[in-house]
Amino acid sequence: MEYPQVNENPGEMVVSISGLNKWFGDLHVLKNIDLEVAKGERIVIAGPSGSGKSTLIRCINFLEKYQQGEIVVNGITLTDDHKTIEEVRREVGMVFQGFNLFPHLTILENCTLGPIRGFKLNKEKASQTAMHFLEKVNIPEQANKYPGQLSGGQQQRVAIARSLCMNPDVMLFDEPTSALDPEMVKEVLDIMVDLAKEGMTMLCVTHEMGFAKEVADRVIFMDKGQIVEQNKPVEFFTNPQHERTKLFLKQIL
Amino acid sequence: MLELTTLLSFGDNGWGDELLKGLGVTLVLAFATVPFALIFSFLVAWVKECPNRPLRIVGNIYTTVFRSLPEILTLIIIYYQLQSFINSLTSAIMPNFSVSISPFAAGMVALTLVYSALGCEIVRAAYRAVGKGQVEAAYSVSLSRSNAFFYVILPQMWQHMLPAFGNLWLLLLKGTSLVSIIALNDIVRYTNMAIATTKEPFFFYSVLALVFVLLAFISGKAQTAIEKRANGNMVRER
Amino acid sequence: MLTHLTDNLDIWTLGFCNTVSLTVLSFIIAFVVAIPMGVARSHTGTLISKIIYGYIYVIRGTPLLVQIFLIYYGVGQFHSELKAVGLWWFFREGYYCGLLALTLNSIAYQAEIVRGAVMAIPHSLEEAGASISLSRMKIYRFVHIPIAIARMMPALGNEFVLLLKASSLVSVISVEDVLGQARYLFSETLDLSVFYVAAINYLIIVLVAEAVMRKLEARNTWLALR
Repeated sequence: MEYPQVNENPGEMVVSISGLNKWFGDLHVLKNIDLEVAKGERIVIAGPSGSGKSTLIRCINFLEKYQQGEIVVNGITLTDDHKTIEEVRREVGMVFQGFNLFPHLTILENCTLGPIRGFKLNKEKASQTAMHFLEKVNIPEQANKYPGQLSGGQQQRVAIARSLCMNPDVMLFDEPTSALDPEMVKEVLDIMVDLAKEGMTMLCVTHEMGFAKEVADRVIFMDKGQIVEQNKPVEFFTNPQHERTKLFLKQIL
Repeated sequence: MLELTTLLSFGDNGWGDELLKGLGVTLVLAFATVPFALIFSFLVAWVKECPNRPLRIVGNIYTTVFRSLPEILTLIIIYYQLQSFINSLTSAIMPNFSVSISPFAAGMVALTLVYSALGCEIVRAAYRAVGKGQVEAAYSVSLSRSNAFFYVILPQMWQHMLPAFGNLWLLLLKGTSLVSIIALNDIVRYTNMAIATTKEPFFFYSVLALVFVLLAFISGKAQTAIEKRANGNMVRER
Repeated sequence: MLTHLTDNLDIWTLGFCNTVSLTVLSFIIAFVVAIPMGVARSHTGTLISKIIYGYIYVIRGTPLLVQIFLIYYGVGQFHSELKAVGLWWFFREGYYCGLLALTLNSIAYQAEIVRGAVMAIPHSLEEAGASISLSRMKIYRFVHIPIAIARMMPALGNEFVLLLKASSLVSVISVEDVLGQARYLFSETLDLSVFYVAAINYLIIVLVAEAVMRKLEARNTWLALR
């Protein structure tokens, strides 16, 4: 199944990474990564654990420092200046494996904290936006509950809504379904599919190959800190080029 | 026994009013120290976690020294050293002029140093308990570092810190008794004065002990109430 | 500063010995008493557990300084009675009174430590022990007690350091411990640096005690691995 490309301006790059290198002490975790993400593009990053895929997307909103290379997000070049980092983070939404909702705030407050404190939106406007996105993820009735009162799947949907409230140009998903009980995976994936349909630019680190087949424009396979190969999903799954990719697909499918 | 209780009456014959006055001084000292000890706890915790290595070493020396020295020794050193330091300062500017530092001020400084060295570990433990994921989530919704701390991290830290700080408050309350040694007219010193006149040490020290037990009891009740309020709307993960 | 140390070496040595002996003696005596108390306290709900809790509550709620005063001056008030029962030799000595106060104080804290360790013993291990046909006594001897001791170790080390610091308070009843000697020398010389010499004494004892504790705890790394 193919979704229509919503990209009106195919040449425009939302994220471009060039020559990215990162070390944890002596460990070389990202090796010369080059990656261009066009507006509206849906990318799935796959690979064995420890291959650096999470680290890669965490570099994009500077949750991880890197030693070499350049990352440009929506025309803003990342530096270690706090102002620039905050600006970039406004353009980039992130969904974590462990949800990371703020347990002391209600669902609604979780969604409005960023807009109110981060870019000084007034409270009413922020609440309106938040309710809009909570409806979108099908849990507007939970708005005044606390995260601890929700199931894992609900929490992760709130986390998606929280990111969307900042009106980001790109969404990063860091294994969003790995910490969920199996019966809750679908409700989160459905939301992600909806987002993809609407043309959101997405970078997903995930083991859900069904999701990759359904929505991805491109699947990237990483191993040992390198991008080993990347291709359209059909090509990637039916005709993998690299030995390591073949081995990985054999193990996972 | 009747004869003994009249010793606690208010007025010329009894020591009740003096003891109450002393209790007031003790409590004021304890309450006055709290905000400073709290702020220093956070400061020292921050210093011990900061990326600057020399600063971290300074923080570690601070906590090692003030946790190793007996509180009373810290108090004596602060009292006399501060005195002589100020004297040498003023005599350089204005000879024949001497300022004396009050035992109260010395007590506040010493207690702040001692209890912030303990308190900073509480702060650090609470910061760790909140977890890195919360900081990252806060950053990911584009909060600045200070907003992330004040709106996301700190509110969650209280829950972890309150029990330990309650404990520290009890230590502080008891610690104020030491200031009687450098001649602050707190409840312990007034008790000693009463004993010097009446020659009834067993009775008066028992009363004194009872007062402290009572303070501990009240503190415990207050702590439970505060913790209940702080955790009231926060439902932990299932 | 150093001349204070070298000129009065005998005074400092006596102070050092008194501080160390007071701390070590009261710590060991308190530990011996705290074991049955802590075990009894772990059976919550019993009368004896409540009485022990009351004792702990009072000791922890009052300053050690007041406890020392109460024993030395308060009990000392009854010297004729004490003479009659033949205990006056004990209560007239600041050293013994200090020792008693420190011991009574530390019993309360150590009993709580023992209780915590006893209550943390996993009872599933009884079944495991029985399944490899160990007798009840052997399960205690080889399973429960080693685990309890390993669990108590850090808290006990902490308590030892606290007790060492607390021991300095006996100087107010004219015991010649490190701080007592420092205060004596200060009254003689009016030189503040004697207090810094005292501070170094305490720092050294604490750092040595902590190093020893780290060595002992290093044998229990399995605790952290669980």
